[in-house]
Parts: sequence; C-alpha cells; structure tokens
Amino acid sequence: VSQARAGALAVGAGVTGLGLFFLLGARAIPGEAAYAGVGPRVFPILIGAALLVLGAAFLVSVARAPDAPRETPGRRGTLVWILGGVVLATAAVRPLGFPAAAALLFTLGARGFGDRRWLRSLLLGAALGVGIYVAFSRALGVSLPGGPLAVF
Amino acid sequence: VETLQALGQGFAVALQPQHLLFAFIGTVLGTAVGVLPGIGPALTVALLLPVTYNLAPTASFIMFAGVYYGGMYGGSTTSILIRTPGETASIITALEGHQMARRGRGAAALATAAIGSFVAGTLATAGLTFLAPVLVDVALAFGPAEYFCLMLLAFTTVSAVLGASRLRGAISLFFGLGLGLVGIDTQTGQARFTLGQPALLDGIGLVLVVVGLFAVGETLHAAAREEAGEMVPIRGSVWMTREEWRRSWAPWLRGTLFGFPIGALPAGGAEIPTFLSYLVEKRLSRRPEEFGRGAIEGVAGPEAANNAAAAGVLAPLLTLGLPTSATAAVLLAAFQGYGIQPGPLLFAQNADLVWGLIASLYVGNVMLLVLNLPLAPLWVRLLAIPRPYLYGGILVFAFLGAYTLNNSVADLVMLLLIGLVGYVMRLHDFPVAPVLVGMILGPLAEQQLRRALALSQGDPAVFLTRPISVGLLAVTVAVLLVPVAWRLLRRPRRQAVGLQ
Repeated sequence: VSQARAGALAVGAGVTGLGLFFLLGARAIPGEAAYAGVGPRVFPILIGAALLVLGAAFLVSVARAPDAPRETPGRRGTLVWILGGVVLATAAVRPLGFPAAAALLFTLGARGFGDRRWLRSLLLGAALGVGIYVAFSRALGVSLPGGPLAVF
Repeated sequence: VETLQALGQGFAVALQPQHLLFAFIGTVLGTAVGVLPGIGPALTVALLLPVTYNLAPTASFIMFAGVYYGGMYGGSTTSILIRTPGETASIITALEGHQMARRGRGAAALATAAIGSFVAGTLATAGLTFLAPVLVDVALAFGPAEYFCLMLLAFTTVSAVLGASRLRGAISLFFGLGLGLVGIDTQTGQARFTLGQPALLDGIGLVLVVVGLFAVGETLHAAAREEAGEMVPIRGSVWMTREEWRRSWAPWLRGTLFGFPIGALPAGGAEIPTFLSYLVEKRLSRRPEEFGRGAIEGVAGPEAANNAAAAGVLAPLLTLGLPTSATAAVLLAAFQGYGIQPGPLLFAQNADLVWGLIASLYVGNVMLLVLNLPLAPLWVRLLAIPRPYLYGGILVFAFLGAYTLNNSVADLVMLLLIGLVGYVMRLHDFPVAPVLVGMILGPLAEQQLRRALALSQGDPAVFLTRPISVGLLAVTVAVLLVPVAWRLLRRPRRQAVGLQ
C-alpha cells in the first residue's frame, strides 16, 4: 500500500467515523419529536447517515482506484515546526502576552519554510507582534494580553 | 425608474468622504491579498470581522466589497507573473497569462486583465442593480417551503459542481452541515454535540473555520509543497497596442455574458464561466493554435468572466440570503454578526446599506482600475516578500483573528484542529467552499424545514404542491442525475467503439 493510498484510506475511515459519531450522538439528544415532526434529532441522523455512506463510498473508490503516481508532499517533517509554533504560541499568549506569542509563532513558522536566521525572524516577529498589539489596544480598542508590555 | 432613484440614494451614501475612505482601504487591502499567494478575499474579510464590530454596518460592508472585488483584480497579477492561481477561478489566467508573460507580453496580459475586469465588473454591477429588485419581487413570494427547496438546490450545486469530484464535494458539504449542528438547537433549546464543553454551546464560529481552513491549512500545505515558481519580470509597456485592444474587447463582453448569469444562479462559482469563456474564445479565434502559448483572448475572456461572476454571486446573497461561494458565506456571517438577515426585507429595511453597497461597487471598480493599471509594478513588489516571512505573517494574523473572537484559548485549540483538517482536505483534493456553505446554511435550512412543516401541520406534501418548490426540487434532482445519466448513455457507445 502506497503512502498516498494509506492516507486516503485514513481519510475515508475518518469520514465514516464522523458519520457514526453523529448517528450515535443523535441518540443522546433529549427531546422527542417536536411539533410537526422535526425534532432536534432529525438533522443529526440524516447528516450522520450521509457521512457514513459517503465515507464508505470514498473507501471503495480509493480501494478500486489504480495506484496513481501522486506528487508526494516533499517535506512533511517541516510541518512539525509550524504545528509546534501554533501550540507554543497558544500556551504562551496568556502568561507571556501577545507580542511574545507572535514572535514565537512567526519564528517557528518561518523555520517551517526553511528559514534558519533565527535572530532575524525573532526580531521581525517581535516587531510585528508589538505593532499589532499597539494598533489594536490603542487605536481599535481591542484588548490583547500584553505580558510585560502591559505596564506601559 | 424606481431602481435608478434607489441607486442615486446609494451613490449619495457611497460618495460620503468616510465611505469613500473605507472603499479605498478595502480595495487596497483586497488587491494586496489578491497579489499575495496563499490568502484570498474570504480569509481577509474573516480576519477583518472582529475589527469592524465597532464600525457602522454600511462602512464595514463597503470595505468588504472593496476587498472582494480587489481580490479578484489582484489574483490575476499573481497568476500571470508566477503561475500560482490563488483560487480555481484564475486557473485559466495562470495558464494563458503566464505564457504571455514568458513571451515578454506580461504587461499586456496585466492590462487586458485589469481593463477586462473593470469592464466586466462595471457591466455586471449594472446587471446586479437591475436584477436585484426583480429577485426581491420573486423572493417575496417565497415561503419556508420554497426557501428550504432553494437551499437543497444550493447544497447540490455547490457540492456537485465545484471541485475535483462529486463525492469529495458531497463529503465536504456534509462535514460543513455537521459542524453547523454543534451548539444549541434554536427551536428546542437542546444542546447538540457540545461534548460537555460550555465553549461549544454557541456553536463553532464560521470565522474560526475560515481562518483555520484557509490560513493554517494553506500554510501547512504550502510548507509541505516544494518552492513556488519563479517570477517572470514585467516587460514592455503597460499600455496595450491597437491590435491587442482589437483582440480584447469582444472577449471582455462575451466573458461578462457568461460570468454574470452563471454567478447569479444558485449554482454560483466563478470556475465554470471562466472555462466556458476560454473554450468559446478558442473556438471563435482565427488563430486557435496560439491558445496555450499565450493568446490574449484567453486572458481577456476568462478574467472578465471571473469578475462578472463575482458580482453575480452577490445577487442571490443580498436578495435571498443564499451564499454560493466561500467569500459569500463569510459575508453572510458578517451580516448575521450585525443582526441583519439578507433577503427581500433587507431592501426595504436597510435600503441605505444595500444601495450604498451596490453603488460602492461602481466606485470600487474605478478605484481598482486606477490602482491596478498604472501601479501594477508596485504591487508586484509584494511578491518579493520571502516565503518564510509571508507565511509567518499569515500565521500571526490567523492567530490574532482567532484569539480576538472571544479572547479564549479554547478557540486557538480549535484553530489548530481545523487547520489540520484543512491541510488534509488540500492534500486529498477536497473543495473548501462546500464546508462553509453547509455550515452557515445548514441551521437555516433546518429552521425553514421546521417552519414549512409547522405551517402545513406536519404534511410533507407542502413541498410538492407549491409550483416554485416543485420546480426547485426538479432542478435539484436534474443536477444530481443528469451527469450520471450522461455517463451511462456514453458508456455503451465507448464499448461499441472498443469492439470494432
């Protein structure tokens, strides 16, 4: 089984699973058929059933398709940098403030695209973060966590 | 005459200095994001939403309209110079226009795209001006049963017509419908699929999904892909030669004729008219052999079609509340954010807003022509931003947009999850627009279904006894079945050929 096909099979399984989730979840929704017959369960059941059938059809179509030489995503390892950047920034935004989170996210995001000049992108990201922070909290009145900057 | 009066009112609104300023900001932003690969008008409007809730709705929508039209103009620049279509509607431009650029006629390609966009955009806005009141009259005859059937038709066309395959489109659509279920059911007050998380009681925000799918998903996909193509520098004069004018004007008009009606149909989408326009221009050309190697007609026609369709999409959005593209879905969410429901009543209750918006489309087109024709070399400089910094910046803005929605860290976790889904969808060629349309129309369809059945006291025959709803259902069935029937009819013939 090629890597592309394994991925597609996983997608089909995911869609099927999502259908099951909606179908089973619909049973847990309280409330019998409301007035005129369409209660809160009807749409979830329809959507769950549709996803189940479509997921199965997708699995069949993947299994039957000839193994096409798809372009393989060349640099999947690089995604770890970007995902790590989003996770770190999410963890950092409350304790360290938005500018610091933005600098982290920008730097790790740029690294995901092959940039290795850490200091440069850290400075650029910090400048972007501070700029947005000032513009939003001063000019637009939208509050962002400032971290150490909040003192000013 | 009434329409012209209303439009005159609209111009009075749109020409106020403050609104002109917002139109200008919108067109500049729109052109910039159109030029930058990786971000489009849907994402930009979504990111602007939190900023604009302190703003009057008219000013916001004038700005959004500028972003929407500007994105269409700017997208052609990127397609022509580096052959990366920002969206499916500019695939043709990327093929034919890039060939022109490589033959040293990039400036002419940019010019015919910009002028064609202006001609088509203006004509199609005029079409919108006169079609909208007609559609409003039709829409006034619509009851819940008709609305429900119309939404069924939109679901079918959006998922069956767009994208690589109907199966993938349908999966995207139902995924979106499923996302739309999350939260409190408006009619019975029951919480559905909230997984016990209080944050999910209000449902999953469309903005969060747009930002996740477009910004984070696209960034992950771009990082995994190899480096983008090299930029071809612009050469030659920005002004077209007499010969190029002569070859461009008819394709512009024909492109408009394809783009506006198809965009205005509930089928929506700008892809089909661009393909149709390209095929027709090739058929009509006296030099069909030039196509594929840089024929100016192949840029002029599709670019006009693409812009005319963008105006057409606004007709069902404003008069029926029916979005048929990703950007239209975000615009509908923006209306809902202001507590306004687009539909026939919008024209009566918010006449200043609607007509001001339509008038600002004319104004925006003029601004965009000025911004794009002489200033094209300036916009091209945006393409010099190194990819790591461009996508790093996109991530920061996505993070900002998701966080400022509710100042909640839970939204950031959702952003990451939706971004991963968006990456997988891109990897396996699933179209994104059906997710957004399903997500925003699903709850409305459920509501209309319930209202229709409540009015008929539970009798499902209500969908089959009213002429408009029967007609809409018939078209829906046709959209579903005709391609299948077509395939079945053609198969035996191919086998017969094989036997010979």
